[in-house]
Amino acid sequence: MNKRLLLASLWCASLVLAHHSFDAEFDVSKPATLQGVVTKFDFINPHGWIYLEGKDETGKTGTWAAETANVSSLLRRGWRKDSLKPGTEIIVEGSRAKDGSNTVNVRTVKLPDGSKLFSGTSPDGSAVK
Amino acid sequence: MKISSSLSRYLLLALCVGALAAPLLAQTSKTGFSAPHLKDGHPDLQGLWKLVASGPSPRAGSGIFSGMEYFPAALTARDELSRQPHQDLVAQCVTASVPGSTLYPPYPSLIVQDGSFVVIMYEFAHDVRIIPVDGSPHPKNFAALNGDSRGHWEGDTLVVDVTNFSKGKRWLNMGADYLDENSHVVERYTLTNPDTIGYEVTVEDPTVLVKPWTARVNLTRQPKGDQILEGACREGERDLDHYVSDDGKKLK
Amino acid sequence: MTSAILRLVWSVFATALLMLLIDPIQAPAQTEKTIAAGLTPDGEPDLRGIWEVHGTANWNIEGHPAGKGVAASKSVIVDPLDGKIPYQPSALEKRNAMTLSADPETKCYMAGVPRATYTPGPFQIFQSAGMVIIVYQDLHTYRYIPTTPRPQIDGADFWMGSSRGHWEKDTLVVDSISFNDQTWLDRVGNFHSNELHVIERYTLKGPKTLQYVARIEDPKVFTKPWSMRLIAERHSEPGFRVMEDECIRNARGVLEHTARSAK
Repeated sequence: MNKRLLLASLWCASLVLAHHSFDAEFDVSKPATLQGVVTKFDFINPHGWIYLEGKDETGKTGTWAAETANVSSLLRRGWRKDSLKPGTEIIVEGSRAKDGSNTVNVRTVKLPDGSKLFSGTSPDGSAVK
Repeated sequence: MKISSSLSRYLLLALCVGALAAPLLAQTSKTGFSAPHLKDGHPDLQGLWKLVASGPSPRAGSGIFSGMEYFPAALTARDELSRQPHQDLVAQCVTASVPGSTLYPPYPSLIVQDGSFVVIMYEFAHDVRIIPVDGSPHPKNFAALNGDSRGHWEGDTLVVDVTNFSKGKRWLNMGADYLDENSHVVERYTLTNPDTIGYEVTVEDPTVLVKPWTARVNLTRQPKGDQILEGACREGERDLDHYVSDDGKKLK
Repeated sequence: MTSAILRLVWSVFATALLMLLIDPIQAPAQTEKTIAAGLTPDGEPDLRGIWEVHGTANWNIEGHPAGKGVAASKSVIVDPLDGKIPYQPSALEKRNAMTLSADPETKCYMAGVPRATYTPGPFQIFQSAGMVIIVYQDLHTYRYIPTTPRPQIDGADFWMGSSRGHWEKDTLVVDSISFNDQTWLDRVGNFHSNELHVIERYTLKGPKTLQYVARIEDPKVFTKPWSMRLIAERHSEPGFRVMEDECIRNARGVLEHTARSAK
């Protein structure tokens, strides 16, 4: 499937799922921008996880875990387990975990060709346009 | 005794017309829509259905459950519960229970009618309710997280009565709206057009709610190309370990 | 007056006779070689009901002696004839190094296919609207098996795989792919990779007997496909039903199945 078309179809209208309390885990007032290389993409329920090696906006390097919407939502939009291959350079925007670990809740993922994917869980669990 | 042949013929005709007309009358709903019927005579509610919330999601603290009216003590209990998000059986990937599972967009549910059972499968945490529609009563000395469901038909409406809930508070959304073991849920499923089920749910809980609470939403049929997908949850759960309380302490 | 009564009696008798003649008598009982299943309202072989596999397959599908509270048993593997899983040499080494405590079932993870068929507890088969639904009591796991053609789902790894079914005479054939590599085939550690491909055959052999044959193929783990055969027995005790089963931490902090501990 054409990647651009695929990502365009994922933009906005991505429905959000939070089986858990967003506020217990993430701080929407503490945004993070990660720049790095995908090492693993766990295309699973209840949330997908993108693991990347890279740095945040402060320059802090390390291994990061970025939580996405669940795989059923992504599957229905044409995503598959190999849609985000290891070695892909991405920029992740999201909210930081409150416990200080290198964990973020993904809002957007930007790919090398500039296309953006929205995938995340919002603080009130509602659909985010 | 001899009955005149012409009178008996008229009686027979009246009986036949009556017998034919009765099912036709039962089918036509207030809107004039006539649900397709299965061979057993009941409306066909089968398919993949999803709640499409027009306002805030029922999952949000500001959603439809915020209309529930709590006793003061229950309200205090809710606020206390909201500070313990790791206690939520949904967060633990156990169950969204009743009626939480139905009011959990965008997870769809699959309804199958098979003789003396209606089976409803929920995509979240692969929950399932096997609902007897054979007139059997609720069991005694029994409790379950999803309670015990018994269904029957009232015209073209499937009415499901749910009692026998397990002890404890079950969360309905992320705002910690909850019900407990004293809750009694009555659901009504009616096909209002080929692609819509009108879902009405009434909840009463004498230890939590001041009065019964009712919600009416529409469940929309999903496109033919869609199907119910596996809702693994516990297997891939990686969030609970990161939960912290308001003062930054680890919760789990 | 008497003639009127006689006329009434005769008309009742004649009606009854007529109804007997126009209402076909049931076909003679089928022999073992022909179809044992009746038909569902949709005209499919009727496999519906609550079934349970007994035995020790959930412990070890190969032949094993008694031990750890489990009875001895022959292998449930019918092909190859020696009843042993045809592992590739490195895979066999891996299997032999598995530890009981690493069994994903101990974490209350879904059992996978074919294991869900023989974990403790019954399963219920529903048939309607061009689908077969199997609900396993264990962890309320269900499988959606469409029997009208539709494309398979590829490109994702599921615990229970993705299944497509069709009927071959009186047998339900279920073809499943898209498995992850996380489930085991039993407690002792027989395993597979995410290239697992399972073809199951469900056939009613008698009113209370459902034969289950699963052909297992996995080019990353086994040298060739192999098959197991199990018998599931029908539950017909009055009021018997599939119970809710969940996994909750008990007072000692240990995960416990609610159905298994229910009285």
